[in-house]
Amino acid sequence: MIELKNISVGFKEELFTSKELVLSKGSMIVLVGPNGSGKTTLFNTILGQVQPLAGQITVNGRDINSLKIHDRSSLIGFVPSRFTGVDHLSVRELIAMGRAPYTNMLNRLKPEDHEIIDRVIQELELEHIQFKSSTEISDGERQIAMIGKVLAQKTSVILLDEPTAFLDYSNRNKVLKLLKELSERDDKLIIVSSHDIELCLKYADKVLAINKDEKRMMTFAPPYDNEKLIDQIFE
Amino acid sequence: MLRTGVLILLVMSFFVIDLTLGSVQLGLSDVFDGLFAYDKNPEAQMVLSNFRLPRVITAFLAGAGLSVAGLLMQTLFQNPLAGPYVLGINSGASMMVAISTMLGFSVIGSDVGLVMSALVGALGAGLFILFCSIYVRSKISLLLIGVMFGSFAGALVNVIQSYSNPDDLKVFMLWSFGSLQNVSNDQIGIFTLIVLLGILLTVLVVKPLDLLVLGEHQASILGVKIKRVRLLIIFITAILVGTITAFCGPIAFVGLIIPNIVKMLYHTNNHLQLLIGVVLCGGFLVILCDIVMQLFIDTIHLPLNALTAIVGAPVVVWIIIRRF
Repeated sequence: MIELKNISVGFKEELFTSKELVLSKGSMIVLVGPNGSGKTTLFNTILGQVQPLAGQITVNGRDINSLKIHDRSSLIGFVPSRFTGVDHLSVRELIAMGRAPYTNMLNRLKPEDHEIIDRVIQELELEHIQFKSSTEISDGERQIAMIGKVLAQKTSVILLDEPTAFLDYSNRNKVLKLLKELSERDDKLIIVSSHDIELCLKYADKVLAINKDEKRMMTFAPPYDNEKLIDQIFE
Repeated sequence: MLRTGVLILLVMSFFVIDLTLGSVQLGLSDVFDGLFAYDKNPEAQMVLSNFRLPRVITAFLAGAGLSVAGLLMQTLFQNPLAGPYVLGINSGASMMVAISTMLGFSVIGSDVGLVMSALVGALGAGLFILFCSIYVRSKISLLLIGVMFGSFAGALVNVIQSYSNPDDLKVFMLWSFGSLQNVSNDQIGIFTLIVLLGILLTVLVVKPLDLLVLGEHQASILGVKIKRVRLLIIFITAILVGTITAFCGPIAFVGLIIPNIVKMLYHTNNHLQLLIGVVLCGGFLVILCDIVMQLFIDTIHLPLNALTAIVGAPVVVWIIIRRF
């Protein structure tokens, strides 16, 4: 569960503010807003990479900035919008990286780590490509493998920065449906930023929308009035 | 495991072959007697312990150390073309060596002074490149900055050369050709110790290295303390490159090509395995170079630096064609 307490988000200059907001586990939240409105900065603020200009963010009741980097890594996971793959890094090795917060100094995987990795690979149906290099698979498969990595990380919160930006329609739908299922089944809090508003509204339990002109973040709950939402944010 | 086993066998056999080569001909049995049966063949023992062993151990450690430095640079900067030579870290060390040999700055005395100045030069160049990497996002631009830094340092060395006396100049020129015979029997212990220390320190950062291949942002989210790890990696690189450059002169390309070859052999990004791979392959390559130099020594004197460049430059071009 994440609590945003009257935060002001920005890097040196304020991008937007948000009132008190509670995002509870077991839900899929969609974050929308025009380019440059501060979606990525909000993610970096929740990840502790950027300090909020004012206010406080707590994850499971603990102030994000008082957490040690190691504790943070077992609490919040992150998937970037694009990962182009790394030569000689197999899909299985990529997913195994999610276990890093739990491995020893030499990054040695224990039998239980292998079990978790196997389970993730099975759940995401990646068995047939698990030993392929991450550069030799399709964009959609790579994005699902990145979600696999974050699932292996076993965090209660997962942030995804425009995870569908470089995918075709069927892969976009597949990824969003998968995220929705994961939030319900594993009781995770999943926050997805996206420009793919109409598709996202199909799955969102709550929408956070940043109004760039008014520099504030608003919340919408279902049932959504798509046109009104788009009017308020983008025009 | 099989690959590592084969590599160990190759290194061991070429190590022994290299021990038989040199100005005094030794057979395999002489080498064996010299190593294990002291009383039987004192002459072979003397040649081995005073000349051959220091030379071949230096070859192995120089290759291994430079390749580890190359692996560190390539993972830190996420660039398959990074290496201590292209990034100007060797040049930093060379520049400081030039200053200390030709301007008479060697305050602490010859060997320690030389190593210290090379270390300071390597560390300075490493920190400079690290600083640039924070502001320059493009991989190619960073390499160009490294090359420019190399030219700049080279130009400074030229200026120093024109003002130095002929004796100092000769010492410096011989050093700059690169040689495996400069590490004497007395020095081999400290040389081994420092290079092994650099390799052991690398073991401490294998986990951050594993995660850095995904980029610094992802690595940091997975628990890597980026600032500390960056500095530690530059420090280890400086220790390895500084020490090896001080003793053997600048050796080009080994640090760049070996990590690429090992990644192709091992098909992994597990840095513990890659570390073992680059130590063995790097050591093997420089021993092989030494064997070639020893075989042709009567007809042509090949400087080590020239030989590694002759082998290395085409490999680099091949990597560029394949990857970019």
